[in-house]
Parts: sequence; structure tokens; C-alpha cells
Amino acid sequence: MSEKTREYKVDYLARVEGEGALYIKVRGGEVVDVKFRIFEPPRLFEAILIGRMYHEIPDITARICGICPIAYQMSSVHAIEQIFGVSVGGPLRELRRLVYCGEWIESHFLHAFLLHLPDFLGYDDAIQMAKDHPEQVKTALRVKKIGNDIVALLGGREVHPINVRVGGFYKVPTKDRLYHLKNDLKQGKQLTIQLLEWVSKLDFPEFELDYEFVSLKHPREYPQNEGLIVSNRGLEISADEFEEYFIEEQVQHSNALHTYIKGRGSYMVGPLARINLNRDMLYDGVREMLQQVGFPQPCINPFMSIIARVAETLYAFEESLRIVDEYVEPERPAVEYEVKGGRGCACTEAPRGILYHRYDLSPDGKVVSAKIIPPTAQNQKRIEDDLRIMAPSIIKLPRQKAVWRFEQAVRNYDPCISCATHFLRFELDEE
Amino acid sequence: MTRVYHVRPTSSDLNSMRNSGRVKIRVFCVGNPQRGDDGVGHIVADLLTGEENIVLDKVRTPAEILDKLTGEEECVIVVDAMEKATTPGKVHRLTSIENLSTKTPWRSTHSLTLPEVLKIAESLSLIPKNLLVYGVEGASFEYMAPVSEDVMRACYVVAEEIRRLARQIL
Repeated sequence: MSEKTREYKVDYLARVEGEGALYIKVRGGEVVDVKFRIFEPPRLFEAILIGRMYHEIPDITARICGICPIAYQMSSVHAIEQIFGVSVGGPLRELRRLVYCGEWIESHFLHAFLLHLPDFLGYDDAIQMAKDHPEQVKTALRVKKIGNDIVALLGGREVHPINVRVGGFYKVPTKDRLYHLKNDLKQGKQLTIQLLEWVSKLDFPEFELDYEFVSLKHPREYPQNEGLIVSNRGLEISADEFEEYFIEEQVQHSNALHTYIKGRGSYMVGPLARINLNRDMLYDGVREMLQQVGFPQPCINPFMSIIARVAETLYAFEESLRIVDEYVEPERPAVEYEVKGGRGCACTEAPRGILYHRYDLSPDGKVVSAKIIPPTAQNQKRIEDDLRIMAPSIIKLPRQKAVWRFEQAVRNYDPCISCATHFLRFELDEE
Repeated sequence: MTRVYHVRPTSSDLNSMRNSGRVKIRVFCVGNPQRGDDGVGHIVADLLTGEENIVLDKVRTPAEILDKLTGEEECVIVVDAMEKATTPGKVHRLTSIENLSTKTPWRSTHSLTLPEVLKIAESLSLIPKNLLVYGVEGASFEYMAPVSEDVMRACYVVAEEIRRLARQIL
């Protein structure tokens, strides 16, 4: 290493979901290399699916992630229902939103309060932080548990739920059973309001960038299961067109494919993108809270994504309460359908951003091909771009603090590396 | 400072447990029954089903313990399998959270280890004075493998010890 060359290495990134590393090389004050390396082995789920029956897809893909299995189930059932020409409406659609709310609550609070918050408060991990801030951590765990309970009630169990199926659910709750959630939901809402106020007062590093934010947009609701894919730079497409606009590329240093918008480059998905593009669809109370705590509109500071996560959790509680109040038990747990062959594509909003699924089925319902593009794969290039842009100012900090800040910048995206590792081809170019 | 918990409740602890209206003994049975000897916790739970004074929780990952602990328990027991062991079926009785191995650093919630879960719980004052962790050395953790004989015998030993403790409180 020459005198003027500095390397910042984090061999094993902490407090992210999965196994990744970070490498930044600076020469003479200029950043010459940035690598967000994902070395967790490829999962090969798309290959595993080939030859399996359509009805197995939701449960197999749910195994991709222990934190956001509902997202995988939702994107898969929507893609398959598109092939079968089925539309799921009424109470079944509402229950799908409710179980998704449960997942947002548990996933957002897990990341915000156990993985991301230690960065802002100066702790190495949640164990240290819990000693000094036990009330906040206890409250966050209480809120997270309510999310788990929703998923357990509708999904059959907290981790890797098994009750979601093409056309609806295997079993639906009675009105009475769902109503039992209400007190917990009210309590969760109140606790989330307190924590939203608290996280808004954290000290956020000054960094703003003109991002291209991408999320779903629905004309009548905050997006979860349906909507067009839009961006703040004029993108407006359906999920069927996803692969015409978004390109996946293999990079040597990562076991996850990088995604970018054709002709434009990296983009951001996730809570910050969703809130910036759908603030008008939040409940009045959530919008007012955001205004009250001084959350900018749009917010272009990625470090403030922790506020977006907590605000979306508040939305999820409001939405859950509405669904519980209005719920009418459906006559059947799932709509009927006829198995057909063809191609189906769907995008839903996983906690970390849009999750794209595309399937080709044979006429008897067997998977011929599958493509899954998780949010972390989409954010990966954006994370590297952030690090590249932030690096010149971060490297002026003492080394330990600089490494800390680089890691914090990665955690802004709540990367789920386990979800992202799925590339299939590897080409070696030797001379 | 290492905080050592009681291996078995003292007689005054037993009296206080008898008289309190709180959960007497909460047993977290950790593991995946589809992974051979990793099913230890769930087998012990099955052996203890119906026992008075015991609240059983079958969990697949240690992280779930954090969701379930209330801080209102008189005694918490955790039963889990131990990997990379040398004597399958050997029962370890651990009473110090500090001394639990944390060779695997905090990485993610996908792999939050039992020691880390217990350390967070301790920081949150969710661990009662009486804590006992049973670690049973396993031989095979292969998918759908049967539980090995030595490990099955160990399950009966662990269940009997917990049962005896519960009956002392009656």
C-alpha cells in the first residue's frame, strides 16, 4: 500500500441481515474503489422452483427470508393469480394487507431499534444499548411482538408462515378472533407515536442527495400489494414491464446481482422512497406527526430512513385498526380459480422495498422459469454510490469513526443480504 | 462482572415461588425437530406437557425468547442443543450468562445466538434470579435425521430434572 493510499475494510458487516463486507480504497484524497461485497453463498431459489407446482411457490419462496416471508408469499401469489386471471378482493384482500402490516411492524422495529439505533447512540450493539436505554428497547420489543402476533394469527406461525395461498388463505379468522387484536393494536399505535417522537430527535449526519426513489403507487391507498411502479423522475410502469426498464448485472465482488434503471443508474427502494412518493396516502395522523417532528418533504437524507421506518409502522397500526374494525368474515377462505399456463409478474412492497417476481407456468401449473429480484439487490448499487459520494467527507474523520460512519450508511438501507444472494451464472474471463 | 444465577432455587426461593402469583417455571424449548438432534428442546417440551407449575414455549430460534419473556417469571429454563460437541448426549447445566460462549459475534437476527439473546434480556431486567440453561450435545443435525439414542436419553434426564423442580414448588 503506498503512502497516500488508505483502505477502509469491514470484513464482516455487523447488524445487517446476512453476510456482507465493505471495502473502500482512497488514494490521495480520491476514492478509487468502493465495494459492498455480499459473500453469503447463492441461494439458488429460482432454480429450486423449476418443476415445482404453482401452489408450492408461496411456501418455498417464503423460506428465502425469516424476516420478510410475507412479502415473498404476496409477490408470488399475485404473479400466479395474474396467470390464472384471478382477482382477490373484499375481506381476503383486506386480510392480505393486514398480514403485510404485521410484517412491516416486526421488520421495521427490529431494524430500527436493534440494528440501526445503536449507530445513532454510539453503541457497538443492541446489548450495550439495552443497558442504558432499557425502556426504549423494551417498548420496541413490545411493538415488534404485536407485529409477530398479527403474522402468527393470519399466517399460522410467526416465522415462515404457512397460511397464504393462491386465491387467498387456507383458513381465515373469525371476526371475534380478529377483534381480539384490537387492544394490542391500540397500544402499539401509542407506543409507536412515542418512539417516533424519540427517534426524530436523534442526531442525523448531514447528507442529502438527489435520489431516484422507486416504489409502488396506488390511487386509493398507501402501497403494499398493488400499484404501478413509479419514481420521482417520471417512471410509471406496470410490473409486467419491470424487466424492460430495470437491468440486473453481475459484478465480480458480490454474490448478489446489481440492479439499475436502464440508461439512468442506481435508485433507492424502501420506506424512504415509499414515504416520499406516497405521503399523500398516509393517514392524516401519520402525516401530521411527520410534520410535527420536522420530517422534510421530500426527505433526501438516507440517515433519516429510521424515521420513515417508524412512521410506516405507525401507518401499519392505523391500517390494521381500520381493517379489524371493518372486517367481515368471508364465505370462503380463497376464491376459486382454474389452473392455466402463461407468464405472470408482480411487485409488492416488502419492508425493504419493491420485491419483483416473475413466473412462467406450464398448462398444468408447473414452474418453467422463475425470476425474483429482492429489494436489497436493487439497493446494492445505490449503497455503493452513497458510499462513494460520502467517502471524501467521511475519510476526514478519525479512522474508527470513519469506519463506523461507512457501516451506518450501509445500514440506512436495512440490507437483507440473505434475500439478495441468488445469482446463477458465473463467468470467468482469463487471458 | 459475571453474574451467576442459581443452578437450583434455594429453599427460600422455593417458598417465594410457591407463594407468588407469578409464572413459576417457564421453559423455552429451542430447536428444529426436523433437524435431528436439534429437536432436543421440542422433545423435552413434549415430555413435560401437562406438568403443573410449568409454562412451556417451543421456539425455533433463540430470538423468539425475547418476544416471550415478560420479566414476571420466577424461574427461566432454556433447553437447546449444542453443536460441534464431542460427547453426544452429554448434558451441560449453565448458570452464568457471561460465561456462555459468544464466539459467534452479533451478526444479524437471522443468526442471533442464545447467549446474545440472554444478554439482551439481562440488560432489560427480564431474567429472574433463577436461570438454568440446559445444553445437550448433539451428534447429527441433518434434515429429517432421527434423534440419536444418547440424545434421546439425555432428553429424559433433562425433563425429569425440570419435573422434579416443578414438583418441589407444589
